[in-house]
Amino acid sequence: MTQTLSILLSVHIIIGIIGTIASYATLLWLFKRKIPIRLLKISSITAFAAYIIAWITGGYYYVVYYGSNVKPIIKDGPNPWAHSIIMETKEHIFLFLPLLAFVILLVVWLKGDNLQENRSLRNALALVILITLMISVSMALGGIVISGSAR
Amino acid sequence: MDLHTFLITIHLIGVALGVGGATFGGILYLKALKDSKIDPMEGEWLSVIFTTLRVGLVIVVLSGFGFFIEYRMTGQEEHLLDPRLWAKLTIILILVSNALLIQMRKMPMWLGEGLSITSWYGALALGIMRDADYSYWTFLIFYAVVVFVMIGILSIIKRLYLGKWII
Amino acid sequence: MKDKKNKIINSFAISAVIAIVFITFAVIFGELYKPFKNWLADIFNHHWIGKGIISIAIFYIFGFLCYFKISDHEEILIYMLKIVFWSALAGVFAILSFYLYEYFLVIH
Repeated sequence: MTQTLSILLSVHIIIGIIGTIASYATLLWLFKRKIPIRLLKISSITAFAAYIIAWITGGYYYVVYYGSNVKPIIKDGPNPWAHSIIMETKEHIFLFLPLLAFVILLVVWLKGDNLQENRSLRNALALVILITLMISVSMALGGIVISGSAR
Repeated sequence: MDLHTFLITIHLIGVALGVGGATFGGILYLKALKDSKIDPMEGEWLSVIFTTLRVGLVIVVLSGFGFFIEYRMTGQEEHLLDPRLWAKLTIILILVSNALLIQMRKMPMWLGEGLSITSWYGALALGIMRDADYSYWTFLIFYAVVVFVMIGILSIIKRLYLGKWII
Repeated sequence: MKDKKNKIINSFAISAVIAIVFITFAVIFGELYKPFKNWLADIFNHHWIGKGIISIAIFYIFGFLCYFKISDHEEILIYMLKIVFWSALAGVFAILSFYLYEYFLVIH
């Protein structure tokens, strides 16, 4: 692996985790007694930006290196399902994240002032953040399994 | 200082903040319950402690993934499928889910406290037990047992300090 | 101003659902009908890049187009957010189930 690819993979991992933390913070702050709208705006835009960067860096690594260098190792190793199930699922479900994060961003930035009084809106937004969080956590865990199987 | 030493240092700072925050959060919460209400000053102190705990958690998670990157880049991929690591990851997931449910007021405090304390000390113990060679499920079963033991111990402490059973 | 905000969110919520449905369809159809996957690879250099670009294009194009027709009611907004949640959940299960099926029942 070249140094550029190592850096891109490292950035993908760390930025992805930052996105996960930002989504978690958004959900957590949504349920505070007094919703901190400013913090919600910061966390929602951080999550969106992080998923975009993780997408670009991970995507480059995947297209340029993974397919020809890592995938054969995994498929010939003791855990071929790490590619056939985990990686195949991960690379496609990841595409949901920027879409979901953008919808969350719109609601927080455009309707943030309504979240305190409007419980139904808050709960509906929480559902979208929850599925975003669950997908990003499973992306991280899937990545650990895939990397662990590349030996 | 090499990368590994740097990551360990950062990780331990996060663990110290988290374990310390969970411990002192529990102690202060108990003290605040003495007069059956949490007054504004006590609320502020608890807020500071829980913020410190969350900062610790963020540091632990980020440095933890730093270790994953190190393993991947240095040919130590086998560590990434270590049952001890996955038990630790599971405990961290339980910890963050617990924090979320407490925030949403969907988690009773007697259970949330027990889970929080056990999870932090459990993650600490798993980090120390380098030679522990058990399966993932053995670690989790032991964790579950300790959660209930901890709930029992906390109830006894509350009984002795507050004069009433809280569970 | 309040009406515009609801319209923007509603339109992008719908476009998110459409994009998620497309991604799910493209994944499963691409595996079952290889010429489609090959077509994506030919046009976009890699099938995964193709799915990503098309889904983003769908998201933003429908996001802008739906704005002109979509309701500005807050009840619709709340309902649409729930639809976004359920469609994402369904998409996750569909894709995961498909690859589990492929691995355990088709290949093995």
